[in-house]
Amino acid sequence: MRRERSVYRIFAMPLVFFVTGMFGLISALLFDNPVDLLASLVVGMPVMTVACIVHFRTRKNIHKHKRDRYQSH
Amino acid sequence: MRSSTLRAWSFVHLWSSLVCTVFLLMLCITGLPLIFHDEIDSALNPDRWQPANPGGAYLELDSIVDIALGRRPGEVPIFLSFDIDRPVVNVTTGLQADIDAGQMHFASFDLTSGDLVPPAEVGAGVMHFLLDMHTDMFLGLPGMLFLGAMGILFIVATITGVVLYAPFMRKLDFGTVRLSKSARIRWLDYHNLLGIVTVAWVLVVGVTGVINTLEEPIIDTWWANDLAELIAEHNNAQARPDRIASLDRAVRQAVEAAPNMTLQFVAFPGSGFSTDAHYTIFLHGRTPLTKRLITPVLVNAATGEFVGLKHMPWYAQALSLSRPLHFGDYGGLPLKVVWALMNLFTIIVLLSGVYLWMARRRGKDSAESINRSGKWIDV
Repeated sequence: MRRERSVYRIFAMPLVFFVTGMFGLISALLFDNPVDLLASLVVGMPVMTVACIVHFRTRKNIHKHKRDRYQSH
Repeated sequence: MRSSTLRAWSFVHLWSSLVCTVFLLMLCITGLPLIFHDEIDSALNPDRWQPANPGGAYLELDSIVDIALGRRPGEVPIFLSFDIDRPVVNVTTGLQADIDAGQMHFASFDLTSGDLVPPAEVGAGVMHFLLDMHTDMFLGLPGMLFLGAMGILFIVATITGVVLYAPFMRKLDFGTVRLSKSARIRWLDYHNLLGIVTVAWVLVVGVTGVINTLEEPIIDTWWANDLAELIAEHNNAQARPDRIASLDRAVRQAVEAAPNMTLQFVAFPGSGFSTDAHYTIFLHGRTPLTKRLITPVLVNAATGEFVGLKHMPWYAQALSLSRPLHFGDYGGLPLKVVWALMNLFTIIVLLSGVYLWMARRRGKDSAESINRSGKWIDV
């Protein structure tokens, strides 16, 4: 059985997204281009990260599923 | 977290989100095209108008007012405003300065030549419908306040969702999507992942949306308190002068009194936003942040001398700053694309939340029916 993760570890990545997202939103409002473009990337980071995570975790799950099936035979 | 505490947080999360889901879905769906309203408007109604003297010097405002009044004999100027992205000044006139809005006449003029500019058809049709639906559902202030209440429920649902995220993810790595499990588990993982990574955006857009729904009360309070106070302080010359001072001089006086600000709007003596004896000149800042902050300046209409000014109170500043953060229109197209993606993520979170609730109810119902049938057999 997997060990339970602490609250700090659970919220580590969400906190990174929250802080960077807020930084991007506010910095673009405070300053003008080209900070806007940078802020777009910072705010958009969750989008890219989610896409990557879903892609790789999905691949990992598929491999695990295939391995389990192979081992069960 | 104790199971009773967990149940309490789950209860608040479930019902706060269920109550507001339909309205939030409507807001997300209508908000999606509104993010790109500039692009859609210009595609639907391409503005082919060009100034007579591109890059040329601007005419004096007094000349523009004279031209406007020359086209509307017997009328008086009421308001003057400026287009943001083209050298166009809009002049509102009427038979009296305090006439009803429906009887006012509105005309646009080329600042470089004084020629009449054909009205732009932006915001017409579908986009106007979407904006009204998104703002107040065609119900005016009650609709706005109702959507504000739904926004508060949405914020509550988001915060309780963050609290519930911890117990659900205690045994899972960040971003785990258990694709090999049942559809309900799979959608729970998507719901948690998309919900937690968009929480900063969702909170910012949610809170600023709620502030925007209070626009009318905030503006009314600002007018009733601060602006009325400014007018009351200097309203010792009630009578409208026979001959009003030069508008250009009045504007120069206002800008001198509030350096680093530029002209946005003029209310002529006798109009709704002014007194019989004053111009009220509304200035805004020059920087990206301060250009949304407005300062009204009172100028004596008889002499053109500066009388007084009043900076925006904190609640009106909060409204001004919440608008760009809600619309996402301050960072060009890249930020708009990000806004649209976040919006789509929020739609997925909302729909997956409804699906999870329905799936859980179906699970409960089938468990109960098995129990019931078991009891029946026992009997």
